[in-house]
Amino acid sequence: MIKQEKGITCENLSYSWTKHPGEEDYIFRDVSFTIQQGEFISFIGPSGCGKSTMLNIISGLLAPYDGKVIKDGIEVMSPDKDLGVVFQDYSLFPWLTVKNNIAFGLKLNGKSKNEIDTRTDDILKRVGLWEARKKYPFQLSGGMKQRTAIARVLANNSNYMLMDEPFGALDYQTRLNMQSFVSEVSAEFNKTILFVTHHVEEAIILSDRVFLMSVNQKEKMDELIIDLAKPIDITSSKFNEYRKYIINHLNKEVNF
Amino acid sequence: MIVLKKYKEAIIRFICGTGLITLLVLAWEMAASGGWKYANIFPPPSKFIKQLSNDGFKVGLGAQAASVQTSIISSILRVLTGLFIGLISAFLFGFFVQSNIWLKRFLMPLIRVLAPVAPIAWIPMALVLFGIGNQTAVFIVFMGVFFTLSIAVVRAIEIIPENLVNSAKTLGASKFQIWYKVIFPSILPNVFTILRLNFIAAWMAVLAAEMTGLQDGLGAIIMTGRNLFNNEMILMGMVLIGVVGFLFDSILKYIQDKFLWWDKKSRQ
Repeated sequence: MIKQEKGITCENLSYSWTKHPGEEDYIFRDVSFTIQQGEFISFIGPSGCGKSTMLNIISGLLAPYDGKVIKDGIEVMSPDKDLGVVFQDYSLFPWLTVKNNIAFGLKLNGKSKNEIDTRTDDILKRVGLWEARKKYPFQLSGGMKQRTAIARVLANNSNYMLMDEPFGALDYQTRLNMQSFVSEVSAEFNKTILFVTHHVEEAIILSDRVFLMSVNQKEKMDELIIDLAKPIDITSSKFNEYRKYIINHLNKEVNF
Repeated sequence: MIVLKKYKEAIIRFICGTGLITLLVLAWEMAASGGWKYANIFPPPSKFIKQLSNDGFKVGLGAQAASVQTSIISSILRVLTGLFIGLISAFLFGFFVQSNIWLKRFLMPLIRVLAPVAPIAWIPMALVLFGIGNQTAVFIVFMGVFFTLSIAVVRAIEIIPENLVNSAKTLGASKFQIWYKVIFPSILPNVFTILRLNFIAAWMAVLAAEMTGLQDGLGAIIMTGRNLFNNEMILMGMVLIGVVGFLFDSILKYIQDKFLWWDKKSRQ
């Protein structure tokens, strides 16, 4: 069945690392959800619950064991440049400058040099990388690297940005900095963002909805709608209620 | 002074390197003039270097004789041709093998069996196939580098970070674009390091091939010296082999540092 509306729909997604899984072998099973265009969704859960696997399946990099992913009415069968991915390890091309890293996707599609230059220069300025455009990845700090990786997806004009623990390797200060950066980007560029994290506050600050994944309950994914006034006051009681709810969920999962 | 600081390490290395060689040569000269008993087998540089400035110096006999310059150039060209064909073939082979798991399962064991066979072991067959000439020398160089480089290419592809390829895929790269825009540049520094190590093997292989009776080349100088019981000629050949090899490796190292730096730097 083909759906016409914009957004991502996952129907009965299952995944297992084995070919003929028994009850115990599923990482998640029969999970369904819908993401509207323009939403900011976080996936949170303990390690091993399949957050990254979920993101890889949605991006088309990994085939699900069962079920399907439908993007804008069409089933996702392989990686698609409309589904841009930002990895935790940045995955920049070390032999290319910041500018050429950002232009990488544009150059693949045979655009004219002029068009590529105009577009990359615009992105470089908007994400604060103009000064660093001629540097190579090894000359950048972690935060700048991740900015470049995000800019690379923005330049490609993907409607969806899938981020797999993008700030996991960054220090606290840079992390806060990058959180507001992503927040701005999602508003300014009107992206639909799927964001995997294990950082509770980060998920609440950034998201419209938080999906709580679980190791023990493979067939259920709790959902928490975040309804906070911007700018977000992290000392408000509402914020702390959300926080408590998520932490309780995570604590149920802890197995020593 | 700033310039000096920048090249400080290079200057120190140059002084240390040439210093030790000079000391050894001096000791050698002193021993020879002091009546060392093996001075006939190891004539000192002051004796064999003169051979070079002698305009009439030729490798070989009569009409077939070749000058030293021709010999050096011939050896270099043979090594370069063999290395070049070996490198291109290794890239093609590595890409081919990595494109399908079954190709890898069938072909890699064969390559790994052939790799340890010393290139000079192929000389008898090569002589029958190609006769005495350039083709044999190039073939021996090729056999000396192809298998190792192939293994290097295959391994380098295996260790490319998965997400580097994944990010290219999600940016819209086709299969072909992934090969030449991501995999090829990713493995280049790695493979070039192996190429540098292999250059030394190739350099040794070409000399062995040239000793089979080629009329020119550095190996031929040694062979001629041996036939004439001329130790001065042999030692001069050895020095030329060492110096040309060193210069060549320096060029390769320069290329590596200047143009293929990203493997080392991106690990920092």
